[in-house]
Amino acid sequence: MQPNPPQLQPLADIDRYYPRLGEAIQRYRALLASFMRPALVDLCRLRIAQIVRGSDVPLIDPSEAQTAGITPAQLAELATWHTSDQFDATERACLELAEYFCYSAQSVRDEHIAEVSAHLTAEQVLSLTNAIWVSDSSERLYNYLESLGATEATR
Amino acid sequence: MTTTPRIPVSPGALNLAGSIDVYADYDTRIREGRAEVTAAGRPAGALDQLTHELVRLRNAELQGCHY
Repeated sequence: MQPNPPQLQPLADIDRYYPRLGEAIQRYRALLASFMRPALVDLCRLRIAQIVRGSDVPLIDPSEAQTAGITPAQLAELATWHTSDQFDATERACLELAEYFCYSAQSVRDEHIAEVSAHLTAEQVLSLTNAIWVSDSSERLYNYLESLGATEATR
Repeated sequence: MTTTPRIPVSPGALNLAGSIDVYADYDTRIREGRAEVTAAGRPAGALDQLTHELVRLRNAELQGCHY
């Protein structure tokens, strides 16, 4: 099993409201990351968090990112990975898939999977897709919970 | 949007709903972990069973899934 992935703030809120769900998400992420280079899962997770929550939000401590195999330069340039030279071909293919999935699962095309499949096995593609699904879902849930918290705070 | 699996799947691998089972040929923990997350999330919501199912079916239709 790979080292535990770095923690993002959203899970703190999911844990607060739905602890069993938060634990299941953590376990599933760790499992999926164990099928491939963990940084691939975490880069996608962080990029989805940027899209859903805004790229100016500090999402993770740089030292935690390094533990997961993400370099400080990658963390700094994640929002502009399209034009950055900090990402290899595998990471770029995964990030492209993650962005399209986050926009809409229907927008994912055969060529996105073909590009990822050029770098990953079929089992890894299945794992990555599920990792993107769980990140997309949990980030959107976080946004909902955040609005709940804001509502509670104004009461 | 395609409903043809984009990863190799054994011919005839169907799930209980009769849809192509893309998980059939791969590590069973991938399917089990997803089911665990889904199951953990279900009681977390405030939706009644009927609304939950209607939302699930509508989402499946929007995404071109068989259900």
